[in-house]
Amino acid sequence: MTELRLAFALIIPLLAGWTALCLLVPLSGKGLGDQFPAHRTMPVLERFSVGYGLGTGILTTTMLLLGLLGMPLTLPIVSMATAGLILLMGIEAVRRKVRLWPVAEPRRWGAHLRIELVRRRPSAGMVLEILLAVGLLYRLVMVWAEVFLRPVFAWDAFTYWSLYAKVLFVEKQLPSQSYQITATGSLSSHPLHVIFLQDWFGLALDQWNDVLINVPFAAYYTALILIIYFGLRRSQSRLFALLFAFLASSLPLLVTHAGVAQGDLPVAYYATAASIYLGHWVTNRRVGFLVLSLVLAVLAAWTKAIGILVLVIILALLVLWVIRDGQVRAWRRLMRYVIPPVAALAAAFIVLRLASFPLPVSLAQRFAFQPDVIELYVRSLLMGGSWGITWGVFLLVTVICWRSLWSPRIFYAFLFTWTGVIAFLGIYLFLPQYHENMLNGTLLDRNTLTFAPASVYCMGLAIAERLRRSPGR
Amino acid sequence: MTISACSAQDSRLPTEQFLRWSFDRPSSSNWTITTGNATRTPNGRLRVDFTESTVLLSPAGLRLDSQRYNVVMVRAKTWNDDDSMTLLWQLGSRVESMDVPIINSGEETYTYYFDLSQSPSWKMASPVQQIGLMPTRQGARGDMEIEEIRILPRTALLEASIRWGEFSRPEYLSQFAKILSVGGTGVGGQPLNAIAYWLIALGIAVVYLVSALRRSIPAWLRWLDSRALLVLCLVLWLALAARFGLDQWHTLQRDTALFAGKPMLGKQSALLSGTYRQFLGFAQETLPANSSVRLITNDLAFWMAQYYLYPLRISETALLYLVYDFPNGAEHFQFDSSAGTLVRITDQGERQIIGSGLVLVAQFDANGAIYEARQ
Repeated sequence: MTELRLAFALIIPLLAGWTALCLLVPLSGKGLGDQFPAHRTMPVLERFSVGYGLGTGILTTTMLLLGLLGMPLTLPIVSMATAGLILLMGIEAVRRKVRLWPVAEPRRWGAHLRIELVRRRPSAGMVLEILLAVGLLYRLVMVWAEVFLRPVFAWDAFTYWSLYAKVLFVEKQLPSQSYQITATGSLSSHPLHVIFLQDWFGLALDQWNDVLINVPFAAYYTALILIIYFGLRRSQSRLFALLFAFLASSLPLLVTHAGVAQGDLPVAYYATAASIYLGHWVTNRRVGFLVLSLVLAVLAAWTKAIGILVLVIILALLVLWVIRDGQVRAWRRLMRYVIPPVAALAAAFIVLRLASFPLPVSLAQRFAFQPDVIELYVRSLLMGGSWGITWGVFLLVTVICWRSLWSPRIFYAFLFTWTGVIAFLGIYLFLPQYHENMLNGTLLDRNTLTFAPASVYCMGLAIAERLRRSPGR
Repeated sequence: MTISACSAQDSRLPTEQFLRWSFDRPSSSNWTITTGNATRTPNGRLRVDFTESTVLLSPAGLRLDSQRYNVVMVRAKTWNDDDSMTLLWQLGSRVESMDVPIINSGEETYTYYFDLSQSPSWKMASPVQQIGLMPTRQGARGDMEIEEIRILPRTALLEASIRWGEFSRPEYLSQFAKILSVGGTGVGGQPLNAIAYWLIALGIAVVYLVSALRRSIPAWLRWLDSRALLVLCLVLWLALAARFGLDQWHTLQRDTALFAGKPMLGKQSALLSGTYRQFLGFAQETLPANSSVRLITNDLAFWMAQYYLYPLRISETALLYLVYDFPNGAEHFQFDSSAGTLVRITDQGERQIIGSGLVLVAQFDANGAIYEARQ
């Protein structure tokens, strides 16, 4: 029974995300303002991976609205409200004649498979692909095995994320601001996505299960790796896509957070996915990808306060795109799609404010320049245990592949990651409260986790591009 | 206290051969400890109970040629509140030392090497008469179960074995810290990250050289360009990723032993020492829901309590006192039932009253109890 309930907990957000995604990036046909040829759209597995993140966002936003309306957050109410939303989106899809499920074309699939088999003679590349696929599978098996073994264990989960989710699960309503339970964090210090998500799993399971509330985080990990794979596969060979998906799956801190009930991995998922789909927009100019990127960036801000930085960077890159590529004429059209999510975010903050949750980040902080941070920051990125040599190679790749960086897809991906890394350095340099957290090792690696998977994606694009070029170029 | 150890030495051999000790049967070669307890376990190991200033000392009069014998190997299982172990030896009137990180799993036996080949004070101490072992941090407590101690000359084979041991050892040191660290492990005292960067720096130098001498080098060397450098980076990165896969395997093994097949309370208890988790459950059952409680413990486990205690709430002003005294804590608590006072005794022996007018509500076990302040 628990297995069925767990499946239900995963299926509802997947369905919501899938349906919403079909409206943005249709399986084929007319999407949000654009015709999507079949080869420009998304494979099914990628749809599930993006749909999971979108769907959890839809689910938790629904829970927030229900809570603010004073409705009890019980399984029937949350399920019915989400199901209602799925139905509405489904009706809209039907109205727009958007297909909600890929039509099986077995004959075509068979032909495709035959061609693949004929083309693909055994080679060193094929052996490498198999090895990498096995490595990737090993990583996923290890992560999922851990998740089903270990109860909640991390400090922040105990003192904030899982604690408040448990409170929500027991009380079935939004805790009031006067609610004082924790010694180390308050409900206002982060957005509520992760808390609602854990609460949802508790509701679906009909029990507070210390082990199974970690499942959504392993699902984020899996979805993130698949998004990186498919993101690279769009422009690179399968070997390169597998190689960098494997390397991304091997980031030690990312793996650690796959089983930790905290917001760091989900925000990394949203940041990476937002940057990848921004790249697709820049390359393909399908508005669906742009809106998807913006929605994912908004969800990053809904997951952790640091996600606001992700949203700001994505918006800044859009402005840069307009200026750099002389796309001023497209600006008006663009704004039609930029304004709604930004306005929605602003509205969400106002609502939160009215609900007496203070804004997640107070900008009224004392400024102080602390240059000693630079050395610590660089040392942590390059020599710390959380990343191996990822950031060192990223730096080297930026230098070596300099000429490859100017293709639009690679340019914006690199700019996104570098801006994130430098923005963190700026935050640590000037804001003393973060400086302290950095010195005691609490925050730094977890913050850079936000941009680490995107850095691997960038390297995948740039290295593949460089290796394709003739020597000396 | 004196512990008999069985050494590999035969009394007919010269003293210098006196270089391996196991503890499976009594012998005349005696190890001693300064304070605390040491017992021989049924499986032939020496179990040392470290208290505040325990040092495990080898037999005196070793007369070791430290120029030749420069590696001390200890095979042991440890579970104490320190994450490194110290080797001691004497140089003139000074006591010299070297630390190695240890794995406090308490479940598996690991081999630790003190590599003294680069230690001038070890070389100068020749002939070394006695060595000692202790937890690095002063006052650290815990147990160590020693299977074997050896003093060896450094050979190429031993070197390779040590390096491989360093590369492949599990990194999982702490029970809670799950940061599986690639950079944290190392070879020869260098983190793996640093070794990888050195190799990349070497690669950069070679590529630069090849590019500068392009016309004068043989054609078969000209493939050494920036693309080769990228391939080198990828190979090193893959090697570290594979090494990390080993960490994951160790983690899974350890977590399976810790958590698999246990009910939820058992899994949660595995995260905490003693009966703390059971005590929190007891408080939940004993006290009315939504009560406010004051939690008093001598351990960091304080921060987990609010999660487990909920719907009981922690408040600094509550009248109910939940007191749990971890036996290994630096400070302890004492309840005087006649005066109704709860006293904290610090590690310096100071006594501070932290509650008065208290009555015992429920006693969980020797370490945990619930009190109430009567106003």
